[in-house]
Amino acid sequence: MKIIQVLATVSFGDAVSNDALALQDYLQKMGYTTNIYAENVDFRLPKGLIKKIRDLPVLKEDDVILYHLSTGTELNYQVPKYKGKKILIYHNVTPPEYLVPYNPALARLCQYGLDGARYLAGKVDYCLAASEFNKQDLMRMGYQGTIDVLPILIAFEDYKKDPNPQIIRKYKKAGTNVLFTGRIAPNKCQEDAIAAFYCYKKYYDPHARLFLVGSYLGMESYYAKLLAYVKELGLQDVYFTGHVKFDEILAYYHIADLFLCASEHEGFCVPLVEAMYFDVPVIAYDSTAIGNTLGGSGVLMKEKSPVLTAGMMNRLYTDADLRAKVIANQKIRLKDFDNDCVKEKFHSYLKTFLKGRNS
Amino acid sequence: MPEVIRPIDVEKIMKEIRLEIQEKGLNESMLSFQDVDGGEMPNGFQTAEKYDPGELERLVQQANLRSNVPWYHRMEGNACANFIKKVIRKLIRFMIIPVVGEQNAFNESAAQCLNQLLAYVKEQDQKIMALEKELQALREKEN
Repeated sequence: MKIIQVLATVSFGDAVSNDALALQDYLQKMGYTTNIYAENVDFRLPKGLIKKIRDLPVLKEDDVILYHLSTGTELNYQVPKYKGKKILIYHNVTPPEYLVPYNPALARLCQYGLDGARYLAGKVDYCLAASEFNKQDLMRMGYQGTIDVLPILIAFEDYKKDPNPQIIRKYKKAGTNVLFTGRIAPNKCQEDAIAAFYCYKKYYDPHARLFLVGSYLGMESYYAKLLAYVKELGLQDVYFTGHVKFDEILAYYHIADLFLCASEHEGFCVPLVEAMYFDVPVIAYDSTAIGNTLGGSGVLMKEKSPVLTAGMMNRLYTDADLRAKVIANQKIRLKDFDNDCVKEKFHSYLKTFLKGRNS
Repeated sequence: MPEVIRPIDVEKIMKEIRLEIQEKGLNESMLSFQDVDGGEMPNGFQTAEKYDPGELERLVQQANLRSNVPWYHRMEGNACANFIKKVIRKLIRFMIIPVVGEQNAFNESAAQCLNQLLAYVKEQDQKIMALEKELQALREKEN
């Protein structure tokens, strides 16, 4: 029996790809014959590590396909045709309505992804969802079989690498460093983070800096609007870094005093866990999977008011007791994402599935 | 005993912050994002705005990823449809393969050209950094 993984794209440093690679590593350790097959493979990955989907061998009925769904691809319609038992690992798809004004092509791709996810309902044997929110999403789409929640496997080992010293030297100084990491994308609502930062800088800390770390590739018009917003507010010290190297991301976490997340759509939100790892207190707007990922840690805001968020940022930065309490809670929550813990969960789900209890 | 998350009463803190906002008379009104016209800048302005090494690397990576277009697609579906598709594939392969081959040859040279340019930029960056260090050391020596 083989257990193979199929996904649209395996790229360097992407959360879904990292999850697939970590699962492959674990499956190999458990003694299974396994491989990853993808439509697009990042050239920086070692040759032979990921195979092209065209090289997918003929599968047998007792083989298992772990299919990662996170975007629109023809694979969503091809996978049910493959032989073998199918397990869907659902990472969620960005709702197209966020993207329509800025990138209609990407919006169409996401719509295609959601259509594909709906098409797969009833065509897979078992589902794993990266969060409780994703599970509910699958249920709304008509999935009726067993759905278990399995958090994304995060490569914590990589976070021990050295951070970029230049960034630390440049910004580790007086003034609050507020951070958000993630693609520049309208569903992540960077404009709301900017609005809260505007109030924070105006009323609490004029020396504060906001770092919006993430690529804006494909979202140039949204990025342009964000730049125009910052300019028209007359706001200083907002840094859009664009796509950065890994040691630079690490450096931004090292200098961050607060992690501010105003996102309105997340299937899991790895940056929240990264902030937990680096002991950066999190303030996040309560939407989609964010509450699940924080799991009672961090500070979850029920309403989006820039001035209230700014007040909360000030509280979290200046109130040492509150800060310590939030960081302590985050440390506890972080343990739930420990690789051994997630792998153990995966093993138990897989064993149950293979025994045929899930159908 | 496993550690347990100690819940924080966010609502209580929010009440205090609201009171503080009221007392200090902090103003909530500000320019809304919806009122901003971001259309002034043309699409693709980022290429002209400034050089971003990370973005360049990512774009070259995208070019590498998509440079090879396979002509062969695995057939899936019911046996009858599959058979017809396979016959069609066989019939048109004499036409498709050379065209895709030509396109792939061009894509590959274009992608390699971009890789060369990226490597050149990186090499020059390192040279400039080394020269800057040397210059700095010389200046310090002079002073």
